[in-house]
Amino acid sequence: MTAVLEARSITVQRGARRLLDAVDFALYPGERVAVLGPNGAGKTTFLRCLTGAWTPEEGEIYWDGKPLSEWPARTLARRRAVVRQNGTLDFDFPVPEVVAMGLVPHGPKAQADADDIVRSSLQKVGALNLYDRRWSRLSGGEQQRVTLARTIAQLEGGSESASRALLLDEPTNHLDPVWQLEALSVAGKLASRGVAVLAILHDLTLASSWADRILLLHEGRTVSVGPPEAVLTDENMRSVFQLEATVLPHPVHGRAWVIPTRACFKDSNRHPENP
Amino acid sequence: MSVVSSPTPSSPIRSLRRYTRILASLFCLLAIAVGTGIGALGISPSAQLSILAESIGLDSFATYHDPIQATVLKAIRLPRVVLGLLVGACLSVAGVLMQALFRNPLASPQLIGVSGGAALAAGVVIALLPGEVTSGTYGAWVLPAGAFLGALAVSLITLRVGHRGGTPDVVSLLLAGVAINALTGAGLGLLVFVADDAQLRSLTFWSLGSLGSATWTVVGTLAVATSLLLFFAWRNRLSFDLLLLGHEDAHHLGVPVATLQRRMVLVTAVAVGSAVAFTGIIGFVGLVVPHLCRLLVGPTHQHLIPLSALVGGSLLIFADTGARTIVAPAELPLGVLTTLLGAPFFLVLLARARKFA
Repeated sequence: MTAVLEARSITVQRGARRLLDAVDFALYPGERVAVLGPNGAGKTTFLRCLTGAWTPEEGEIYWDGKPLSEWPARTLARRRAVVRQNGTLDFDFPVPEVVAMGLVPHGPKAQADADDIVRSSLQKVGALNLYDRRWSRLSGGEQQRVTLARTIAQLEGGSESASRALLLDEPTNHLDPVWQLEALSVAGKLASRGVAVLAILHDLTLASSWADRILLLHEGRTVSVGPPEAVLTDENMRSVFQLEATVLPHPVHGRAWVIPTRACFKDSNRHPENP
Repeated sequence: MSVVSSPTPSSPIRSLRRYTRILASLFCLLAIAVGTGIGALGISPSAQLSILAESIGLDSFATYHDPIQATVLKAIRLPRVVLGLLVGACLSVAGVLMQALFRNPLASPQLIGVSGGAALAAGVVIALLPGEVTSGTYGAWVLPAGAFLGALAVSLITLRVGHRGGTPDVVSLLLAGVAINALTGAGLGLLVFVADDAQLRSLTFWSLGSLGSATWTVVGTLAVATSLLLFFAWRNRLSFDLLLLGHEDAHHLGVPVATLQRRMVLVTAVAVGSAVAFTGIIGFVGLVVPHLCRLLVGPTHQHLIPLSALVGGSLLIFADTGARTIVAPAELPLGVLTTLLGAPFFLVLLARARKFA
């Protein structure tokens, strides 16, 4: 099977800092991948490279086996949707028009049944009740859900036969627990229809219950890739997250359940109050 | 998936939109009728229609009108009104473009130095070029050509400096614009310092703005520039919406951000540079009109662009009619009038926005 998106040994350097160091990764159709790692591990940088917003200094990103840079931006936009961590919108658009922006790459053809797609996308994230509202009057969580609806519209507007991917940078930010679950479930449903989904997450247990595979990054390097149980180990918790944690099988779904017990700072950056 | 369904009647803003374009068109026709009718020689709407009918060959529809009225209308009033329409539309739509580029409702073409560059170049032509250059056969075109080149040159410099790694960077563009505006202002000050009395007078007159230069040739030139701007704006209307999501999201939605931004600056410079070249600096239209129109139809460019063009054109015709009739037979400087009206109006808008926020 060809990977939808593949990073081959990508390195990103900003000044003296190496943000990513020879990272290899392949994302396949229909799979759900969570990217984990502490703050500054290079997660967002990695995502930016996958979207083509940043070009790595070394290595190359491939979409459908062809270098990302060789694909026209418009074609990619029909097949690949992205939710950024801090999405903004500087003017006060009505909610349906924000969602309809996802249909722009699909051209005038998609505008014909735009309203149907807009409504069904809003419905999928439980935000149809926001249809008559304006962007500035939404709470942070509501904005996040409308943004998610926009990316759903972007993917739904296109053909199902081409490879498609959804890339999410902390899609659960600002969301109540119920919408965190729902957002990931929506992404999961897209995956079951063949969309490759990659999400940066912070909640370890949420990641473990949702993802097929986890990519664990630390200081710009890949620490581990694999199923949640293989990645979320006591040892990785300690060395990567500086966390003394117990990992148990979850009583409900049986996946890894991370229960942090205390911090275990390395000597170099010990917390001043816990010598 | 839990669904909170709600019946969604068409929101008031949508029904409003349906009527605004019709209302704006009527407003525009009214502006043209008023602008061509009022003046030292009054021309009633029925006389206007009669002259129109006669000049397009429908003599049977032509009722009685004074031949002098026909001459005044065709040679003086109409070119001036059409010029007002074109310049108003041009400045307003350029304002829409700059506000989309900077993702800020306070941006205007002046911000990237277009007007400043035109003013400085015009100042050089007025104060430094020998009189023979501007009095020959093509003399009347030297000043507009200089102003246009000045506008283009300065915006190219702004664009060049406001780059970061090959992509126009909004903050750098803004800061470069501020610095360049200060520089052109100082340059103009220097020219004022060296100019003699006559030159000083024409410098001042030029910087205050006027539609007094209107002839059909000027109208033709500006029709080309304004059409270019309107065509570009309409073609890219959906991309402008996406730019407001930020560069990265616009990129993710397939917009070639860097190319589009460069073209926005260049097209604005060409169009506004041409307008400023013939009319001098007419302030606040590019800032206030998009604002006003956004209040009426929301920020979506599909609706904002045509409405801004219509409203901007109409308002400028009304302002110019006021400028040439309020203190007749003298003429108020148009740029002063638009700023006198526009600035307080803008302050009211700001205060209202604060109240609703």
